[in-house]
Amino acid sequence: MTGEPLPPIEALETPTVDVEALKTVEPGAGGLVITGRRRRGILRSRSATIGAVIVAIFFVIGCIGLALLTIPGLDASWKDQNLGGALKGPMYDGHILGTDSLGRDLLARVTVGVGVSFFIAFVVTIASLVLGVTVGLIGGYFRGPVDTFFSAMTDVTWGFPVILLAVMFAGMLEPGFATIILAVALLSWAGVARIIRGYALSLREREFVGAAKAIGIPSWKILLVHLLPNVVAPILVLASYYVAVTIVIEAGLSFLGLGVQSPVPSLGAMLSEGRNFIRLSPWQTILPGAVLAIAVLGFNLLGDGLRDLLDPRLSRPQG
Amino acid sequence: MTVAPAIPPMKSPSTSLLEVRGLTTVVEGDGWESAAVDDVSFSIARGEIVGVVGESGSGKSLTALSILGLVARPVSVRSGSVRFDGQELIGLGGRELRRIRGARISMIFQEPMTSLDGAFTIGDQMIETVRAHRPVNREAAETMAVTMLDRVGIASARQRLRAYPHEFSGGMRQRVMIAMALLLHPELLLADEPTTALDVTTQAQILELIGELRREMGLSVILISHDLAAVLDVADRIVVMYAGRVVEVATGEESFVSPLHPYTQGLIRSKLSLRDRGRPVAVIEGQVPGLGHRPMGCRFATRCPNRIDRCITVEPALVAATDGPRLLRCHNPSAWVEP
Amino acid sequence: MIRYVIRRLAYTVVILFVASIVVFLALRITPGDATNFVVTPISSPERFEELRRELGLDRPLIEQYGVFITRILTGNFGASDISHREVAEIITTGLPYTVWLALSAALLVYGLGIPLGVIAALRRDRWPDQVISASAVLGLGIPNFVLAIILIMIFAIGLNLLPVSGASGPMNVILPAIVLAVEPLAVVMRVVRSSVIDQLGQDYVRTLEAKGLARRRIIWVHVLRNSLGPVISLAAVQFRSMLGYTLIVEVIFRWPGLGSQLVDAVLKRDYLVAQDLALLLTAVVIVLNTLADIGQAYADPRVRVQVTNA
Repeated sequence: MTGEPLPPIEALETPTVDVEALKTVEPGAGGLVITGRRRRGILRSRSATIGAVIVAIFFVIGCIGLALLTIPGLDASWKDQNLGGALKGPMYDGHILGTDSLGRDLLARVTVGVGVSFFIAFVVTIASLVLGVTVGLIGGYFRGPVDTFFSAMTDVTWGFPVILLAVMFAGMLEPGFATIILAVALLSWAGVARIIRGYALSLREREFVGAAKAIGIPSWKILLVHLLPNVVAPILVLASYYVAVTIVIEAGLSFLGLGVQSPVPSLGAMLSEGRNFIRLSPWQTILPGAVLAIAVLGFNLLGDGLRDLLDPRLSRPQG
Repeated sequence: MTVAPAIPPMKSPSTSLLEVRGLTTVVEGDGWESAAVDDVSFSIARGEIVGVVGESGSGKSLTALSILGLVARPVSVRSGSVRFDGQELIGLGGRELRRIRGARISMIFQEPMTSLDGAFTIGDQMIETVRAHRPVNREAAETMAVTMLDRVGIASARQRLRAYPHEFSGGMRQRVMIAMALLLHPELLLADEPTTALDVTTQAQILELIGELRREMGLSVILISHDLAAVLDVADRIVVMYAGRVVEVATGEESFVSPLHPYTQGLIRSKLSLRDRGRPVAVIEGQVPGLGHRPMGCRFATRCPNRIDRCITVEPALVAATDGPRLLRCHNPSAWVEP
Repeated sequence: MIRYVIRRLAYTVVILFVASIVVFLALRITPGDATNFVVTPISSPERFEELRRELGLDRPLIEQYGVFITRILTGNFGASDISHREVAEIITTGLPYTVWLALSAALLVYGLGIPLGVIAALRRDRWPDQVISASAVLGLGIPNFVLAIILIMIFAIGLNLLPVSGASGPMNVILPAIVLAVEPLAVVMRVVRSSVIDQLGQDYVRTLEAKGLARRRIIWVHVLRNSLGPVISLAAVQFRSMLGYTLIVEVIFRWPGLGSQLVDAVLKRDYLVAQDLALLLTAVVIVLNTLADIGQAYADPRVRVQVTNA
């Protein structure tokens, strides 16, 4: 290691440069501290835009997928088998994205898979947010025994690996939409509750809450009118992240065969099925894998962007 | 210890330990730079306490950090010389500088809470300092630490070695900082606002301690403070800085009894007015010009009651004042009238 | 500090107790009960009743829970009705594999994540930082079973360097460990990076420099030690999430650990085994969480004061 001084460290910059002196530097002269940060800000908001575009595209695909899944008569598109034309690559005989091991159209199956994935992710996220925000706000606002009870519940729930419970549920109940949603939502609210409780704790000390209390506004109204609007920012950020996490969990469960059951296509199951033919024809694995990865990336980018914009203190949840 | 400066001293005592000449430290930005320390010269003799005084923004802390090479981008030493015991420090390699830092020149800082590493016991931090410079084992280093803590007035020093910084009061923490700085019996101590974060009583105790240690250990001290009155009692000489420049150098007594520079006079006037109730509070209007706003003439011109036309266009030089070895940078000094 | 540890341990026992109730009840909320899985539709009602008695399902819930918890606490797990294997045997064969995989992954997460995070912080906004930070974004974005398949395609099938699956040799652990490690590794790199940047801005760093310490020591001893708090507090979440993903990763790589045993048991409707394994894995997470909390209190003497006074 050479003896050169430490690399540019703000440790040495901040105290050595008199703050007062810096404040009076002309704006045109360029700030000492700001330059790096400004550039990164633009970079981040660009990633948020990319994320938003990906999410929007997938949202449309997902809606089409759900239509294909639910509207009677359209199911032929993803159900019809043709063993003669199995495991083909893109542009084979009218199948734009090729076919799977049973000769079913991959474009339709991926589209439905996205729909299934999004449907589950959105329902779970909404359920987790409703439950988590309720528990977090009430616990943080009222404190006392209510809070102790809610916090203990949150802690216990939070310590449970989501996938573990989902696997157990899938085993005990019938695997399928409802089981996944129930299992994941039953656990992931806890992460929301922890964060929202933190907000409620600090919000209850603010003047407007004190003022509202003083003029006799009932607690439920304070919660709804004064606290809830102030946690909208973290809720939006958390929503993006939770959709991403839930998509991964859903695909993981389907991958294990404990998710949505055949013949309804899901990205995880398609991956797992494609894996059996991976030497023969890797395309059937690459396609759902790529779709999944891009969708998750989209929500993560959107979450990162929203977080930097709205509330940099939040951290990303993990499965 | 060798007492033999290799260079002929300028106007300072021949035993000068540290000789700062033309020190210029700049702050760089996108396409601009500005000297936060601008052509600063002064010296300090062995066993001397020099107070460096000025408002924030005067460049006094940066001067101290520049001496030890503790500046990093966007701040850098542009030119000048710092001779310590005959050795040039500017441009010295990191390894050589590290050999001097903490062993021959030590530094203490304003906020002893944040300036100590809160994750380690003070014992660990002191032993580490000793062992960075001396090939001794833990026990020997510990003994040195205990001796020094004892000396600065920490009761039951050996037990306190196991305590963390947050377990001390502010004054005690600063004592720990001083003990840590003096562990290896350095020749020079740079004290950057050592008492600013402390209450008045503790302030006096810490300054008194520094004075005692100077006598005992033959220590030279550069005492940096924004508070002229606080350092007057202990400092042998006072260097007054304003906007990166030295504006007056005088003995402690002279600066107080007959300050020459209007800025020094202003500092003393405002201090006196705070001390004696009933007098109207005197303040120096305005503030130190920022890095980008340095006037072309005298830097104090914008706030100076003695300003004449020349002050706005021509910056005065730092020259010997009429009486004795005092230095002054002013076109139009006026005699001090005690308010 | 001791008071804190005791309190934290007591809390852990409570959580473990609640977890056992959750696992226990998770099986009782099923329509019907476990006999559904064992008794085939052609079984006679007599056989059905007999089985309920055998399994103790005709007794009150409290009593059933008592039997369940006694079984677990005495380590007298019993044998599966489906596979006729001893649960204890399943655990003792599976556990070493899971521990092996987990330790390999943890080695990657912390052994790589901490130094890379520090390097990114020291070379902030220059190429090492940009490479490391961009990889972190990718690592966070990619679902780990997708990554698993990509790695299998490249290293096992394409380059034929590593085994596709199984646990036949020491090379087998490499791919699953990487897959399991990627997400937490990305998180650790990011957290260490921002934490180190934050610490480098603290006053004490300047003091350490003024003391004449070597730069190496300042960074890898003082700054690092002060930066680890967030990493340790994050460890709890990471254990939990890694343990969940173990189930998937073990299945993908046919790794014979507890995770794949659990999935196997669930798929075979082997409810006794599934229940015990689930409780065991949950207990592991809870205990590791406790250790992480206590570790954090040890790492930062200031946190220690706060939690003790809380």
